[in-house]
Amino acid sequence: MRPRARLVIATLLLASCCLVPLSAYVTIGHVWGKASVPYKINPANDFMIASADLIAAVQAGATQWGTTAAQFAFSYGGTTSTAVLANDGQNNVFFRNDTNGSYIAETWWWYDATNHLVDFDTVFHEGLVPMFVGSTGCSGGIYITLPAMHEFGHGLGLWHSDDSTAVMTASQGYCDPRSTLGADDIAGVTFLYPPSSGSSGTPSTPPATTSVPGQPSAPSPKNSGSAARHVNLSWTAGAGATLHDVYVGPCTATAPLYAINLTSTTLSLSTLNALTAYCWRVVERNSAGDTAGPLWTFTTRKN
Amino acid sequence: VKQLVLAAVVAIALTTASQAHAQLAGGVTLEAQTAAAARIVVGTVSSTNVVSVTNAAGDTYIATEVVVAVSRTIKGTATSTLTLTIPGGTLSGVTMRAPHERIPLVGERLRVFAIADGPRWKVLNGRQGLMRSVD
Repeated sequence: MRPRARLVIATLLLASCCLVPLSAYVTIGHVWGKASVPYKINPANDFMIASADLIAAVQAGATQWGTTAAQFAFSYGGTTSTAVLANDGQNNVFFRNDTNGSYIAETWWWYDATNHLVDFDTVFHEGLVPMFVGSTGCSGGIYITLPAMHEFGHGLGLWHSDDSTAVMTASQGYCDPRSTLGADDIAGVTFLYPPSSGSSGTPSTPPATTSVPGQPSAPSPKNSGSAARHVNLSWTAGAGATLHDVYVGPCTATAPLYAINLTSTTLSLSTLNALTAYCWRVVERNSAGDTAGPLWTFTTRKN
Repeated sequence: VKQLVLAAVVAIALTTASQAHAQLAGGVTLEAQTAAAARIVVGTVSSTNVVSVTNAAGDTYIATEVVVAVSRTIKGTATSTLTLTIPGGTLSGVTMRAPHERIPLVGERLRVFAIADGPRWKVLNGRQGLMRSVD
């Protein structure tokens, strides 16, 4: 399967279906606690690309993130023979002759209870499209440096940008020769690692504005209470929630999804069945993720 | 009630369509996604459980096993449940995330595009393989 027009770098979907425009770059509150993060490259590949050339192409992607005013840079730590994704305290980039859907490459990361990143690894899937180094000669494939920049962007804490011109956008075209960051990418790394946040080695503070939402609370009707057959559901939004999904239905089955992407914390239901127990749940959402609230119930009165 | 339900369904359908359009523009057509999936099911997430996984390639990671109670099988073998192993989750104070993946919540109704991963099933193309469903 080779999409004709566009290719996926790490994932294909921008953060869930948001009707509300988001800021372009996306973070979820995780950063490194140091300003210089080492990585290693396993240059083994099936494209017959010389190790030195491949290392240079990957390094070019990493180096870009250190050219901004942000207090952050990747540092090349040499080669490795490691070719697995694992939380082993070493940040590795390697190539594997396989496919995973339509991913050119993907990055996994690990973070601790303080929201500081502790490890990331990147795998390039060689089975999808041919890969090339440099900026000429590509045909029906991709230049490595652009997805390398993209994956290192994940490695420092960025998710996919809503700016289609950014390196951190979710997909890229064939043979895109770009090797420099866009303005949105620079804004993203600068947000995560502000220039004034201290000298090299000083732990950055994870941004506080990008945590997953808190739990919804204070339901109306009160939990386990009664309600008219025409009822206005309302609740107090969880901290940081920007959108709300509501699941509601008779308690005889799992409450189905009834409304999504609500921007208000009210929902009107009319002409419900009389003398029936209804269950409902609010899922609070923002760009960092979802938080499901508790299951609440109310029973409709006769009239 | 019918008008309210219809309005809600239309509203949800519109947002779903908007989402699908964004996905199609992202890189993989729905046709390609359908062709590549070994299983396509509609169902509701009934439970999730975080586990440590080592796959055939030797990757060791934290994953969330998501059990989907299947109500309709569109492609592939029909079974009553489909357990997806999705990278990401928290174990012993350490959290692993893969930016392209989404862990659905219990109760979410989904249209799932899945492919085999050794003895497990995984979502095809991450977030693009989990579509919210209203049917």
